[in-house]
Amino acid sequence: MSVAASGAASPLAPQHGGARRVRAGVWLPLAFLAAGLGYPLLLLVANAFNVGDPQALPPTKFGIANFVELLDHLDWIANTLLVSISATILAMAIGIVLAWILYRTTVPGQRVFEVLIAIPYPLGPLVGALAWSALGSPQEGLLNQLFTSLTGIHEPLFNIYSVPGIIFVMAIFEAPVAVLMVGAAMQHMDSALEESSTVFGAGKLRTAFRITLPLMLPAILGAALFLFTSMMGAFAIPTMLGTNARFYVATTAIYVMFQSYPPNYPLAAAIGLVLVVITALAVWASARVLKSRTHAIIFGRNYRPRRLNMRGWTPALLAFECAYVLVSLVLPLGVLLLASLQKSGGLSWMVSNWTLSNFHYVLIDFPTTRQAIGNSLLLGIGTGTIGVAVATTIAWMVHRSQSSGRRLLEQATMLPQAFPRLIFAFGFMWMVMSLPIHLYGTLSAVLLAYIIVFLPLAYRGMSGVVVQIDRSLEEAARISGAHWGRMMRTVTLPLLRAGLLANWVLLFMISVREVSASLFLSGPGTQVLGPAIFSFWDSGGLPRVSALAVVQAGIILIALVVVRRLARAKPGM
Amino acid sequence: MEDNKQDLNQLEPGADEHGLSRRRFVAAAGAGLVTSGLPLLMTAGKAAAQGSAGAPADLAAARKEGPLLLWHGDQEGDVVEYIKGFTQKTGIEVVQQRLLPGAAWPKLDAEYRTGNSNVDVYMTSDTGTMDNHRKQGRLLRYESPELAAYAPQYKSTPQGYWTTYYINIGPIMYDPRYVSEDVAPKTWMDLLDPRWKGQIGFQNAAAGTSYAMWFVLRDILPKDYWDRLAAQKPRGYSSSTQIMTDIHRGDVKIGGRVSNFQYLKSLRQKLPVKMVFPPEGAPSVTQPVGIIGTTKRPNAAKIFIDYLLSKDGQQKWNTIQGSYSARSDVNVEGLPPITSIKVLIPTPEKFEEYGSAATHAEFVKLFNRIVGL
Repeated sequence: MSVAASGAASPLAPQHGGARRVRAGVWLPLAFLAAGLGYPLLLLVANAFNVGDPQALPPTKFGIANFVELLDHLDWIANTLLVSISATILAMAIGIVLAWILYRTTVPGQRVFEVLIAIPYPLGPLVGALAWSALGSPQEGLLNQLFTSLTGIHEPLFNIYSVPGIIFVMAIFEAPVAVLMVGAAMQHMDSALEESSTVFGAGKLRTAFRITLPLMLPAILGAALFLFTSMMGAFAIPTMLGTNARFYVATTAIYVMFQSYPPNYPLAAAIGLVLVVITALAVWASARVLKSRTHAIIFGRNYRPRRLNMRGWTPALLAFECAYVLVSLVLPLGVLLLASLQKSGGLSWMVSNWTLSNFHYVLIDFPTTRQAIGNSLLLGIGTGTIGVAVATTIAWMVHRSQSSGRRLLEQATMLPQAFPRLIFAFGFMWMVMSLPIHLYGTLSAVLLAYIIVFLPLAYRGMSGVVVQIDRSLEEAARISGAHWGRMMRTVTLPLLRAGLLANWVLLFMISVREVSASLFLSGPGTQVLGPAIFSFWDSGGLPRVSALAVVQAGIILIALVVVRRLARAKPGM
Repeated sequence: MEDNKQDLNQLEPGADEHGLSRRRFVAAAGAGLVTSGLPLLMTAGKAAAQGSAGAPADLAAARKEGPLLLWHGDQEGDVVEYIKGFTQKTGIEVVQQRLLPGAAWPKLDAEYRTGNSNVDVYMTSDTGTMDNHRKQGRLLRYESPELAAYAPQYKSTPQGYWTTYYINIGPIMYDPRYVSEDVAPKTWMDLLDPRWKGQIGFQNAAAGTSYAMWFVLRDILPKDYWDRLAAQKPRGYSSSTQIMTDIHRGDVKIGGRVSNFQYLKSLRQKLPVKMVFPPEGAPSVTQPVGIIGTTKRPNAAKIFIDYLLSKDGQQKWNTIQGSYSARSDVNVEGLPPITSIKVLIPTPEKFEEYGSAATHAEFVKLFNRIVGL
């Protein structure tokens, strides 16, 4: 493995002589990214400027007509920005409050809530949209029916098929990312700074704004950026909840353009390109904001920040945590489970009306879903393993080597984040088709796409792990006479172990639930769960699609439990 | 890498060959890949097979050809159930994929260009495009003995390229729990009643059935009908199942044009549903099936066609799916007799226009506007 190779070549202390050459650990991933990301982008750009035959690949006539046509559809871009920005703000608000309750207060149940709050993210948007359309549809939604039976009022309490509905569902299923990222910074914050502010007479509020917030800013911005870029490419929730409201965002418009005949590729590519430019600008802007600040205080040693006893507020904060878990986990899984047991489309509470035949259908009778489950498991394992290996290599090169090009590598690694996944998949599909090697229509193509789109997340995770490994432990091992292999086995890998496992399972879970990229890349023989669920939603009826979503949730939850067990087990030394 | 450098220089005249910057790196790698990939794209366009009157199918050979790849635009569950029976009967395995016309034809196109085509049989809702592909020589001609049972309007001319495997009639539908019979629309013009504003659901522009609806009704209804329909703000669903889900939930009142098989599907689930066949006529699609010219499993494909078009196959498929057969000797229980309905289908003399990409594009633009896209 190249991690090992680079570790062997670069001794622990910074190396000087000859260190300026570009190492394989740097240029190999760079070449991989340049090819896997650059070429699809090139095809996307070429198509966006194609004004000749819309299906010609490569285009023969160039112009800006597609962008002019786009002016008629600025509502798609505006809608995309509206839901992305609003849902990011809502998710950040929820996430910051939850992270603060979890890590900076003495509100009880931290260990339990830490786990429960994390789960909605890997469950993903398909589960969220499906479940909330069963909970919040105006006439038959369970919550609206409950409201009617409690109050006697026949007007629905709310309509999930609306812009606020879309924003709400997107926000609650992405909020765990904010909890994770902001929470990590809160845990590592040096509270001595806050204490000295208080000592010098600043009030709690002033301390919060002048000290705590600036310290948290990089983490908050980083998380907000991550959420915003993911939401710009969100597909499942706007499609499943927006159609009824005649509300379209860029991705859903692109999808309809792809499904209609003749497909308008150039216009779709033009919208895609605009989206890429917007997310790239957001990435650039936040990098500029962060550059002007020093955030060294957050990295490095682990601090144990003081926790506040919120006294009388504790029940309210606990209630907030419970409410979040209820709307993002308990109600969605509950309603899907209920729907999956039904014999027909309605929701009946009568146990005598329940059946397990929908599970039998998706697990055994129906070849597409059976195959999709197997493929998704394989892809999850593949993406987890290769993704973590690549991300670890890159993180190691960036943080531990002196190789030139490592900053470039870091930037390139984060680039896929600027591509909405559906747009990337669209360019990637063209690339795969045009390659002389047989990759089109294979599971390897899907795997490759997953690794590229999830690399930023994996790298971010592994960077956090690599940075925190104290070099002095490794140095101690070397000084005590351990050769490199022994040091890796007895010191470095055990230190990395928990981080490797955590990132592996994260990649596994988000691959299993992936839908936007897979829509274009899966096909006969390469069916995967996301599009299978989507297609069932399209034409399979609620009981069966719910059963399949429950199976997907089951796979994700089992993976989570198994890996947590493994991580807690004593590492074999 | 010499080639790359040269290409890079062609793309970016001022490029400096020293040092490594991100821009240069990406550009160089991209240029290299473009030049290695593009020639293939440009030259592989001649892969289309020649259609020929096929020899009769050989069952023993078919079983050895490996699983047949079937593309279709129908409900996956129905196709899988039908395939299961077919495999039991013939021993031929079938792999299916649901692809609407907009996804299927460009995919086939791209696969032809790159020589990657693997599909054997295509069942679609768009006869016009199917016939275009016949003209382009992309369909295999196979004169199944079953063709004799099909009237000329239900098969290609000359016969054997594509044949109708079911007739998809599109009435207006509603759930009587939410809409009473006396107020329910009776004609296409009734859909313009302000009462239904925001309460009508259609399949979106991706559906071949929506296209056919517009194509056959546009000469019958007033010219400003579509603008007035747009003002009603109908919703554009991705499938007829989606429309029915909302109709039975009471979230949308009227299915503007719903494939008739949804009627039997609702009744089978014991959900109340009513169909309205307007006096102007019910826009319908003769859904064609054909063998793709580049098929790698010709025997299996022919046997698939033979059985699908046979009396037994038609009875099975249409019973599973809930539609009308083009064969007069097949009847599906629960449907009103087809002779009682004024069926509007695109006639063969209009196939040229019906299949043209320009007419399609005109429709897509209009219909996207109607459903608010």
